[in-house]
Amino acid sequence: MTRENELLHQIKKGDTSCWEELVSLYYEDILRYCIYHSPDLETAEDAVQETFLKVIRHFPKYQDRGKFRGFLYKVAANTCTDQWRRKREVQLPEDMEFMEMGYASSEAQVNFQYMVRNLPEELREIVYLKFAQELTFREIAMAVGLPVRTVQSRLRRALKLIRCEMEGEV
Amino acid sequence: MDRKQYEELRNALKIDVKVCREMEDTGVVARRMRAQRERVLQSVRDLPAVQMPKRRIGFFEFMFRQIPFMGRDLWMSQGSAALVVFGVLYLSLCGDLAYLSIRHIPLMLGILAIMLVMTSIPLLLRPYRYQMHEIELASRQSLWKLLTAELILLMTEDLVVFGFSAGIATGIAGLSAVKAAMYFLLPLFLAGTGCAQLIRRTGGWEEVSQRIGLCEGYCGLLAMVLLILYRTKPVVYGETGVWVICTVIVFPLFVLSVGTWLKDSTEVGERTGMVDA
Repeated sequence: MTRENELLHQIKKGDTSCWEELVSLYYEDILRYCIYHSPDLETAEDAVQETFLKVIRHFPKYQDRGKFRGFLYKVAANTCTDQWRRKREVQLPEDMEFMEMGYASSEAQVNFQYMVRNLPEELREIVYLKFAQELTFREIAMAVGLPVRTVQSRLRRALKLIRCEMEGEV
Repeated sequence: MDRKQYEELRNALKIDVKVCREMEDTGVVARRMRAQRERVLQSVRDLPAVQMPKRRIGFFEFMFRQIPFMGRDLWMSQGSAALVVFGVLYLSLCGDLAYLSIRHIPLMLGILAIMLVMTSIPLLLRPYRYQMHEIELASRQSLWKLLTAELILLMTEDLVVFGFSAGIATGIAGLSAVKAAMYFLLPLFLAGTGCAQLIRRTGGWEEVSQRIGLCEGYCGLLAMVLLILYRTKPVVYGETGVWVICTVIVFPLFVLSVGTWLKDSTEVGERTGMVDA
């Protein structure tokens, strides 16, 4: 039994103090996800907080045991979408590109970032969840609300597009 | 793409983590990140769901907690129905209640019993309409327990109304309490049995209002029968033995129908996810 399962089991039994550990366990992953999907750091931080609060509030309705990470990312994705909607009229910060690209350690990494950014939205999210968040296909399927086979085929298509672009560059 | 390229892609997309970690290593930003993390954890701790873990309350505690919500509605509607009956009667007799003779009392008690059932049907079917998901989540009680609690509250009210009516009947017309109970209970059981059966049989109907309409129609019909009997064969009301036999026959049917309805409600609860947590 993984630590996540142990904590979820304890919470289900009524030991709600385990939420703190569970939140700490995923805090960094969700922050990273929200930074990637938010216009600025402040919005990302708010999105993280909102995500965890929503997850705790809606946990009694959560039925599919064993897919908690998928459920968590689905809530985070919806929260980030809402944040974008709210911030639609606000101008994006000037240092956003710096935040996204400025820490790449090699040219190859910068290129990959551009290539992923240029992917169609439905492919980009799957590549990001697979490579940056290391979610399983089942978890990605739950987070994006698609069948596992569709996720697999979309990932294949995305990697093919990246490969084509790399060959084009060479 | 080879393994190395996959690794590059993974690292490229994971850079945001490095952003966070580097931020933690630097003074002001590190403090901000730690404060933010603490803010999230504190907001989690402050959530009522985390602060006060859900304690499963017992059935009777649950029932008493229903009084300010459903009990009040039930009692108000039934009390109003009883008041309307007495009001109409009082006004039609110009305040001279002594005019009420033994001949009038059975019809009055019967109509009153049917009206009590009629007013309770919309409230009893309310959990079907709204699924009462919030209550189920908050209390961890299933649908059949919710209905049982409502029925107990309902019976309490019926008992009070009956006590009051029987008191008037005994005091004014000199009718015995046993006879008053008979004239009240038989229509009540007949209406209750019919409505429970109708609710069960129309379980597949999506529109709750149609089911309510059907039950109200049945109760209306029953009231009409009582009225027709009163007009055409008033002698029936004098046959106490017939009323006793009918009550003895109908009572088990009533218990059986309500029991089966509650049992079926458990299955409805299971289908809609409203089971005991």
